[in-house]
Amino acid sequence: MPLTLQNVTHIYQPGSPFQSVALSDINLTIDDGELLALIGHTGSGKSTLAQHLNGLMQPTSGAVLLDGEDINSKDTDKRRLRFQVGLVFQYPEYQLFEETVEKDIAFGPKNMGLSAGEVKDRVLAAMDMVGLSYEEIGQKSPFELSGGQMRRVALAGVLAMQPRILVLDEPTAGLDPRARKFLLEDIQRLHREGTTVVMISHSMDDVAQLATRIAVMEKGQLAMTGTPEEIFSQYDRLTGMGLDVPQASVLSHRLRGKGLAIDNCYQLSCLADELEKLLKGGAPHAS
Amino acid sequence: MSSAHFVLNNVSYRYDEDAKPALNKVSFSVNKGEFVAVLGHNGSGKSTLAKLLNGLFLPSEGHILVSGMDTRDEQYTWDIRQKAGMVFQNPDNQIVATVVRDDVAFGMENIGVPSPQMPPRIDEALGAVGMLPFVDRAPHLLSGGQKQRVAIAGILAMHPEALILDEATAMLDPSGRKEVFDTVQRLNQEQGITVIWITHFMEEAAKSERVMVIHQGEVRMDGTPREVFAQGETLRSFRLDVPPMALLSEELRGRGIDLPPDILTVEDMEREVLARCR
Amino acid sequence: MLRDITLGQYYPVDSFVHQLDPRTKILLTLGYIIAVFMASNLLAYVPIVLFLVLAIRVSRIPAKMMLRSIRPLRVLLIFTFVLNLFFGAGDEVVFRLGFIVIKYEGLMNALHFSLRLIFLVMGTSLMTLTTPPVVLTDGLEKLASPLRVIKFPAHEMAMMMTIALRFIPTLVEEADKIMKAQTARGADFTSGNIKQRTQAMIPLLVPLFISAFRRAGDLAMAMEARCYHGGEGRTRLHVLKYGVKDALAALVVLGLLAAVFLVGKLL
Repeated sequence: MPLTLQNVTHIYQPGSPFQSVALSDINLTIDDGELLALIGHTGSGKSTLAQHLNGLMQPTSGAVLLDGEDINSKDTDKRRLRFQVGLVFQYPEYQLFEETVEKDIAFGPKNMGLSAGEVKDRVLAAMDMVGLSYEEIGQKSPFELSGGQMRRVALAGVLAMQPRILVLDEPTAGLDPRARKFLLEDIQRLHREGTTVVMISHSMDDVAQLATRIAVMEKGQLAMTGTPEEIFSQYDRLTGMGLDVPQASVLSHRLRGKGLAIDNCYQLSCLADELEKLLKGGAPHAS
Repeated sequence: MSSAHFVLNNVSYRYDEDAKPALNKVSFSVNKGEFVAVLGHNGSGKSTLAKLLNGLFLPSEGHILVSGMDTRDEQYTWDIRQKAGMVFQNPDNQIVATVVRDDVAFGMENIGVPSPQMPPRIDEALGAVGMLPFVDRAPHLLSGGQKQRVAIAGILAMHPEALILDEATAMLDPSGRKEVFDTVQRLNQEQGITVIWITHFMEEAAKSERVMVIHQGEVRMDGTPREVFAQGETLRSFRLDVPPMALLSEELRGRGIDLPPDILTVEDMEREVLARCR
Repeated sequence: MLRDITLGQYYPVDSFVHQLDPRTKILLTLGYIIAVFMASNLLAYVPIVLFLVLAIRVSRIPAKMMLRSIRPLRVLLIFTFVLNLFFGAGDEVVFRLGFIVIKYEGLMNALHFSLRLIFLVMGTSLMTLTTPPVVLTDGLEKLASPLRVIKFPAHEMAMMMTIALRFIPTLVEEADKIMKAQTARGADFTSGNIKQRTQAMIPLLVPLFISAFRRAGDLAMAMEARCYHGGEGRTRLHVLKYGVKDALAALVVLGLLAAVFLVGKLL
């Protein structure tokens, strides 16, 4: 059930003096079961792109297709569509509003018109997915929780709608190391259990750890797509765009530059293997 | 005359009288011109510490001296806040005026700087943070990193001796984070301004002179970044992490490769690997 | 985009009127309003029209902008005009068609009140078009500061207005973001009856208020950290100073008042 962007262009305030092109001729297919990381400098159009994925924003030209169906066509029930593509905004804890955690998570499923029993089942399942205990905090006010917990409640609020595609805009922004680690584990687990995930991130170490594919945005255009190996081996091009690369990539890039025979690694575990081979096995230099 | 800029003596702070103290009998001192990173997870007490350092909060027990002035002594309140300026986390919530120029003037207006002296000080302060071209802009149209630099300029214009940054980069993207960190580091090196940099980013702490780790309201570690980050296990028990290269060296040491424990940066690791291959 | 909203209707060009001290502009606008109210007959509007035309020319505000300022008033204007036209007192009948009777006095009153409304709005618009809101606030603070004697919080009022002006764009942007986020959770802000729509606002308003309170707390802390302690002993970056231009403008408005007064007296 792929989600496809076909020649998507988005222009803000067309025809006015403030006209600006936010997205320019984007062609991208998000395949089932992948974890696509969307990276790029602030203002490169990542968030605008994300809002096109569930019809919150409409392309000025081009189309967004879900299962081959144009999600913005008049006869598509857009509300139904939004439930299939779940969008978690930046700092989503700022949208919590209900008296209790349970009610807040139930907001989405209720809007879907589900029965009380179904809503309850979904709340329980969603809380379970993000590692929150219903007994402990279900009846608490979301505003009494820690920042990391609030973020997970907000995530559960979208998961309770059981989207097939989950779009996350900077999911770990502002979290401390431990809260961030938990959240990344949640995302990884969701992905493993079959949810398609699109994740916008500035943290290349997060991307290196999770992504199965990466799309790089620059000035409203799709600059590159590829596997993490392919993208992070483009060291110079990424840094030229003002983007970070994972530290593992930096080190392997530098060591290869010095003539050492190691693979291009973007994950620390890979680099550890390579360095172990190199430092234990002799044969230090490449031919 | 002592060169101690901040002296904390057995400082405790409670938000509620019967609550667990947010800060518990903390003692340390920071010298003039030092660049100290204070590291801790959310809720560790590090933000409380920040607000105690310029008298926004007053200690429940113990006392704090800023350049020899006791923060509890009301006659020094404004002197202390002028000398120890503070930058907060959310860039949007600390800008008061609708034009950059007016915002930089805000602090000076409060401490009664004569009007004719303000324009040159505004130019100087904005120049020091590289924001002079934006003097007539509306702050809400700037990027996060730029807003934080405007906030820093507003403090510089008051001619402070210390900057306290309370997670000033937590809401910024990597380039904004770097922009703000580099600016502050330069001010520390060129103007000798004492910096207290509160953060949960390991990379930033690794680039400072001294790292203090706060956990459950107490200072648990205090040393150079190399000393602190060599203790991965301890840091993890404080809900923190170590920079990627320290993690890698830990992993390799575990696999029986003899590497020194104080590797922090890519450069360190590169040097060690090359030394072992030649 | 919502970020581009401008507040007030300040029109940024440089002109004699723009350069006037905000206090002058506030006081002279008051003088002008008095002149408009003093005008007892249509002839007295002649000097007012002359003054307006002169002021608008000197301010370099395009006439189109000025006319736009009365557009929101059109319903009220038509209402005022029609009401006076048909229900005016008097004996002299000008026009009669069936039950519709228009009397001379009614016609005069209709013109009189409609013109008064137009002139009032155009004059005050001239002030807001030529003065940024923050500068206007400064002027108001200064003008109201003698009232401190009777405990009127002039500085605090002005600070509140400044902060409101600073935070409106931020909160508008935030409202937009929350609205989108709740829409993504299936919230529907656009359909249903009034009760349903009001209820649909809760997921928008609650987070917005919470955020506003959080921002207010943060801002108070940040202001205190920057030594803010009220208006006491505070100096200002922008010092307001009356100049020759202010005296000149005052003379013109005095002339206007005299002219309106004389026209009223003579006729």
